[in-house]
Amino acid sequence: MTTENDASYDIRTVLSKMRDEYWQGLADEESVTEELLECLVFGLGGERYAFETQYACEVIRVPRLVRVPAVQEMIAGIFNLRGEITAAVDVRPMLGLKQPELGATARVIVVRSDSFATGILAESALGVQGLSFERFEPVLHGGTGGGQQYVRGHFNDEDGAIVLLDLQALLSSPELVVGEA
Amino acid sequence: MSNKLSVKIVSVLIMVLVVIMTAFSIYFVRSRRAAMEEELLAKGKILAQTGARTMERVLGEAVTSGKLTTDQLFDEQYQPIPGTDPVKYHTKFDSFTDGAIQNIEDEFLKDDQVVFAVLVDRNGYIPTHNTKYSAAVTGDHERDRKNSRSKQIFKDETGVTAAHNLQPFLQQVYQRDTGEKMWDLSVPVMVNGKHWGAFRIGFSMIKIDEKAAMLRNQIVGSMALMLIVSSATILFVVGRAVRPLHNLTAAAHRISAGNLEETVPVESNDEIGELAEAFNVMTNVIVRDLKEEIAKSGRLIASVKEAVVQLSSASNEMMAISAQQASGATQQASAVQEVTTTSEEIAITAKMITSNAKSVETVADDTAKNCNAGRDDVANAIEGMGKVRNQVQSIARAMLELGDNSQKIGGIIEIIDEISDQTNLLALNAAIEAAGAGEAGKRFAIVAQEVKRLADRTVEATRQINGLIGEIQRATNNTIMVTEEGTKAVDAASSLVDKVQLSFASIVGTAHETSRTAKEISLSTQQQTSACEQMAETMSEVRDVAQQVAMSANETERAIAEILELAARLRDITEKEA
Repeated sequence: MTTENDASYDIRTVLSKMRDEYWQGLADEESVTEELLECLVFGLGGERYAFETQYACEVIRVPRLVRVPAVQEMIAGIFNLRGEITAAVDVRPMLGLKQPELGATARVIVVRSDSFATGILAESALGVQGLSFERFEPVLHGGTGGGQQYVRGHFNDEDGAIVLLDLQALLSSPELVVGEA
Repeated sequence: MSNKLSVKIVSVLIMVLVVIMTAFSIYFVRSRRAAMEEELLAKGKILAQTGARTMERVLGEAVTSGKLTTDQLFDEQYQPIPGTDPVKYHTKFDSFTDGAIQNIEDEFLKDDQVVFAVLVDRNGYIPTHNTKYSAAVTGDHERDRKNSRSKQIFKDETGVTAAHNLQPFLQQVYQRDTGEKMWDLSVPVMVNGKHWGAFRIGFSMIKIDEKAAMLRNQIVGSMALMLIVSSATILFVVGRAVRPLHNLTAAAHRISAGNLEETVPVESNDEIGELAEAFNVMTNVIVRDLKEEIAKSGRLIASVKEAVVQLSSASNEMMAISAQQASGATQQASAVQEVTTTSEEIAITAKMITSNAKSVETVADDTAKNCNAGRDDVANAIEGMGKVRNQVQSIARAMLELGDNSQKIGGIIEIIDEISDQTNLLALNAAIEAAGAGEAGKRFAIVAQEVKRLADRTVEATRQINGLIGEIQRATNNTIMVTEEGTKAVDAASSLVDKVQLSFASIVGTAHETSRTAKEISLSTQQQTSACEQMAETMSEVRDVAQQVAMSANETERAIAEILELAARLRDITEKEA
């Protein structure tokens, strides 16, 4: 396994590839022929989820969370973000997802709604991507089971599906709001 | 007859007498003959000298009277007379001498012992011979040589010597040419002081020989007569003296024939009479003793018979014993032979053992040598082991260091990962910021994307490095384990090699011990060999002795058999006698 990796991992090839990519990147023209939605992609429950980048404020590592008693289950704890007490929310139960252990790659994605900032716990932050609408499949809202009400659709690319969340709906969910109240 | 004592004495006496008489006769005859010759010589000398003086006077007168000149007298011109054989010669003086001296010469022949008396000149020429020898020439050579001897030159040695003689008297003994043994007596004839010739007288020895023979015959005859008379006398006397011995002999014969009462008459009182008396006494004594002896010998024979019987039985026992002895000795000899053979075999075996022991010794020495070499090699091996151990330990240390260092590298990689993670986060946030900035943030978004890409690359690289570090650490751990095992193995090998060295030492000790033991074995077996050889020698001597004993026993048996035979004969004899 490792020996195979060793064999495949040719440093020279990697280096030349990197340099080619660098020069390619300089040479590439911006040819936006299609309409792209700029999204922040992250991993939840083993799946890829995304939402529009404009909702995102920043991405940080999972800080030390202080558990707050007598609040909703989804609020994993609170933390201090530059003097602002921010809640870290685990949205996976709301989306009907499994809750695997959060590892080293776990992130807190800080989003800003109208009035306050909220940290969403993610298993990983995969980056900002422009997703093509041509591959978008909207979700027909037929029911509320399984957190479908917070999903707007799927982007199908070569690696699988990326679920586009409706962050407004999620943040304004009564489960969260009630807890805040 | 010749055995008789009287005959023996007489013959001895006769022999002695014959020797004495012969010697006396020879001596007497010789001395008589010598005396006669001396007498004859004296007479001849006188005659010769007388003749010579007479001739000197006649010749001197002839010269003085002038009948002959001196030259004629000394003439040497000998004229041969023809028809004469032997040759005769004329001189200038022979006619004178024929007339003047022949009578004188013939005068000497009146003595019957004188054969011739002649005048010769200094060359042996006889001008005038005696009438007896002056016969006329007949032509018969033999007669002329004998009877017609005048006017010849006699060149024989005696004649020449007489003619040349200047001594006053010369005697010569010779055989005349006529064969007679002669005396030639010559005296020189001088005429007027000059040597003219000689006067020769020839004496015949026949007369003297005849006289000597007569004398000898007379002596021999008288001697023989005397011998016969004396022999007869001795024979008679001795015969008389010996007669009583005959009587004595006859009496002894009669006694030996069994007439023990016989006595010898004593006839005289001389030595023979004493002998007769002694003989009588002896006869009495012997007869008495003989009777006693006969009785004794009867008893003795009985004892001898008994002894013979005992001897026979004893001999039989001895024979049995000696037979046993012989068989025992034979068995002993064969047993000794076996022992000898066995000891020889032992000696051979011992020799083989000796040679084997020597081989063992050689092998043990070689082993010791090889073990010493092995010990050196093992010492080298131990040294090499120590080096290997040190190197393995340094390898282990180096590996531990390598493990430490790769852990440190792991730490550094964690730092790099941390940095990459943070960079990634930073890039993400930058992208978010860029998105927030709208159109103005688009270029910034590209930068952020590049930063993220580099951070991803870095993560990928560090992941590879981590894998490699894991590999290295596993390999290092394996190596450390292996080196520990190697160290242990080296320790075990060292202890093994130490044991090997100890084993080699003990092998060397054992080999030395083996070598020493082999030497001792060799020495012992050599001693054994010599002992066995000595034993074999001794055994062969014993065997010889046993064989001799057996032989002796056989001889003893034979001797006993002879004894038995003798005893049987003795028994027969004694039985006969009894």
